[in-house]
Amino acid sequence: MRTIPIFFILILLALPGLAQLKYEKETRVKRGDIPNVALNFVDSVNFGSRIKWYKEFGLDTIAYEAKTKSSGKRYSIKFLQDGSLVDVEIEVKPNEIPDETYSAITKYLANKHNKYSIEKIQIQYTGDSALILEFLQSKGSDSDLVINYEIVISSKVDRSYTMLEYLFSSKGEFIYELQIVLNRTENIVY
Amino acid sequence: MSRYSLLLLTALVFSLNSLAQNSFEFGFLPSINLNKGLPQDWSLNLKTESRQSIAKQQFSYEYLLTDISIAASKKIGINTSIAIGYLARVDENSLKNRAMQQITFIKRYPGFRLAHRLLTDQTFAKDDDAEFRLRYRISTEIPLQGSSLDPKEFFAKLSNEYLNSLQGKSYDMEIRWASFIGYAISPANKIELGFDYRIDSFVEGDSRNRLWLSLNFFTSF
Repeated sequence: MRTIPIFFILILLALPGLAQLKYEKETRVKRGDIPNVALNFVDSVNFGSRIKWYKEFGLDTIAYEAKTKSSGKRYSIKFLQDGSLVDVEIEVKPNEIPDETYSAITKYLANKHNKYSIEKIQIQYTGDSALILEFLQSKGSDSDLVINYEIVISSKVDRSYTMLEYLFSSKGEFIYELQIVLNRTENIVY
Repeated sequence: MSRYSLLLLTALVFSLNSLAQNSFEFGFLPSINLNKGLPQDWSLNLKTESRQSIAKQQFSYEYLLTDISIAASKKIGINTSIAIGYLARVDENSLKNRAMQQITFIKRYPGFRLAHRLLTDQTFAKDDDAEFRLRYRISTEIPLQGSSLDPKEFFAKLSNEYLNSLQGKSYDMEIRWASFIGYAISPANKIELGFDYRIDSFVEGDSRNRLWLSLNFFTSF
């Protein structure tokens, strides 16, 4: 585990001036390794599809994440080690974001990048876990939940192509920006 | 069926298929890849690969050749890169010179990465007609311990390549399948072990089948 922060610090030193880097290491885990609270939450949703569980190592946090695809949508549900819910993310298309919000987001991105391409959009739900569960079970609305939009784009930064993760509020206000560390590809190029 | 079982089955099918064909050769194909990132999305790749036969109809060791190549690559999009390179093929009696040009598209999907490579090369050797090839390869890297490949994790790599060759007035096609189990030692180092099966000369005449046990090491600095 000690190698993870060292690796992160080395990258930070090597790439001054860029956005803060996003570093995550995740590994597949079995149901038996997951806190019961988290298992109960996901089981209560009744996705009706296979759930894959991952253990995610951040810089100073460890989390568990359930991933599944249901009704054509990809879901990621993240929990802390004690099983408490962090957030629920659902992959969506641009036309599933309110027009005003999407306009504010694209206006911000266009101001910051000469040319960019949206790679992925996720709606992120946080807040009271009971209300989120009711929403996922289609028993409640999302009106009492905190809604943010996580957007991954590709763009050219300092003359190099890179991927960036942005978080915007439900009104399209900028919250943060992270640079995604891309895995090396030489072994499938040469 | 687990991913490991599927890979093992693939390797076995290749092996059995080879044994039933007209000519068969088995050998080692180790390679070392050194990669150096440069500013503004340029990079250099230096590769050396050695070919050694250990069975050709019957068991007998024979050193065949060594390839040494250098390629300069430029990223022209988040998923696209172009490269030009030179390869020297050295065997006991001759030297072949090869120029290479390639474009690669890499697409990231949840749970795997897919690469398409279109490559042309031109090979020149004393006393031989120049050989011109047009190649297409599709390859995938599948993390085996998560949805993305992290250090200290295993992965599978599968590829399929079609090589059209024109030498003098002679046309030939070669098809390659490869399956590897790999390990990401660190963010900059990967090692792969697997089988690389190649069939050619089947367009006209008896087919030639070769099965290589490959060990590839990739490092970046």
